[in-house]
Amino acid sequence: MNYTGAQVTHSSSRYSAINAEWDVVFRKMVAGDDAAFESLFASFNPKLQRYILKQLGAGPHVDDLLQEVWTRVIQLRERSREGGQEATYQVQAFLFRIARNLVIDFLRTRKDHSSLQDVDEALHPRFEAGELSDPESLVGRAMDLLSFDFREILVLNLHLGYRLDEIAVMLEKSPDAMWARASRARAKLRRLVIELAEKEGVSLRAYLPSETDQV
Amino acid sequence: MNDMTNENSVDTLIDRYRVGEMTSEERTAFRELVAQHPEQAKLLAADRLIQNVAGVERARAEVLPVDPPSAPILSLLKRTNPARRVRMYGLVAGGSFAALLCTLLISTSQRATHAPSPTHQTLQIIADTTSAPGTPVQWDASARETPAHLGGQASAASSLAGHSKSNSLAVPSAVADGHPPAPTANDRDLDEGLGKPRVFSNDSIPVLIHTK
Repeated sequence: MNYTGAQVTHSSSRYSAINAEWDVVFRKMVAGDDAAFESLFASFNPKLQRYILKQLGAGPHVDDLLQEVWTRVIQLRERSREGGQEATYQVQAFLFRIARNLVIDFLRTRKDHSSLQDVDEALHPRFEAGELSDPESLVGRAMDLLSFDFREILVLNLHLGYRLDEIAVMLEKSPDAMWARASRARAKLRRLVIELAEKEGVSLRAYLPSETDQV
Repeated sequence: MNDMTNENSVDTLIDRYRVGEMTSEERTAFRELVAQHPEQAKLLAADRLIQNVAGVERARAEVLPVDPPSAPILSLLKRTNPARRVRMYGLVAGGSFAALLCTLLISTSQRATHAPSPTHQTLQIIADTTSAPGTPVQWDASARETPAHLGGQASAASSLAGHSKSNSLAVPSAVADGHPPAPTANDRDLDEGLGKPRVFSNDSIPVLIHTK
């Protein structure tokens, strides 16, 4: 992951070429080609699933929203058949924008959470002394503490492997804005990981650079 | 290298360290520097932990099998696929009209998702019943009107003559013999959600069968 301005635009021509290929596949799917749909689904469904899962947490809503993403995609066939103009899609960005809008709508309408103040103290979540935190869960919990925007950019960048220029297209922002957001998010996440590690007695020494590092 | 108080500097150094852009001397100096600055060392360790976790997760995701599409997705896909939506809805009994009219029903996505839709589209398929089974039937993919009735041979013939023949379909033997084709399992599946009885014309005038 590189956050310098020059690296943000690195290999954007390759990105355009890949996107153009997906655009062809996508238009075939819209025209009724089920094999094209299968190809899109196999490539993007796992990433969309992880994006929704990371943004909302586990639950039946993940599959529901994922299904809704694809439903909306398939419905483009009808619009196309009803005389809609042939559109040019930036498929990757298009799919994630649908997922993102669904996630935001879900968060706006979700009413299944209560303030801790409204819940009996006996039901409050607790960290049991003696429970060991593994580093992986530490990072996961630190991610959960991030704001929506910070978590989103780190999920897309670190966990799904999208470059910042790709994310900029998905979120309809400038690459520079994405660079700044990613940098702030990463700094915030580092601090949260350290706080949680100290609170829970987890040593991070194993992650310090040593002479035996294979760089 | 000495200024590690700024988070962006840390980012840059960590990135350079991780991607191997530092020379071995720089890496050694970096390690010593980290050792002398415990707070920065924590930041570096936390960053490496974060990267490790993300890397493990990416690797794990790559080997996981892709879940198949859900049943509603597959159903919607089927319903919106023009090639699978060719349906034989009616035919002319007797031999006075050498025309066979079928409708190709295209359900809307709303219907596929179980919400009623006020409209649906039909395409006309016109075939000559004197054709032998297996003879390609031409249809007009541009005809999208949904008249309640088409009046007889002239109309059918003019429809056949007046439009481009942009696609074809083999005449099923049952249709050529003057009998409606038996529904297949796939037909029944496609009919789910349409919910209306189909009526086959039994007189000499071809009728477009509507499902609403």
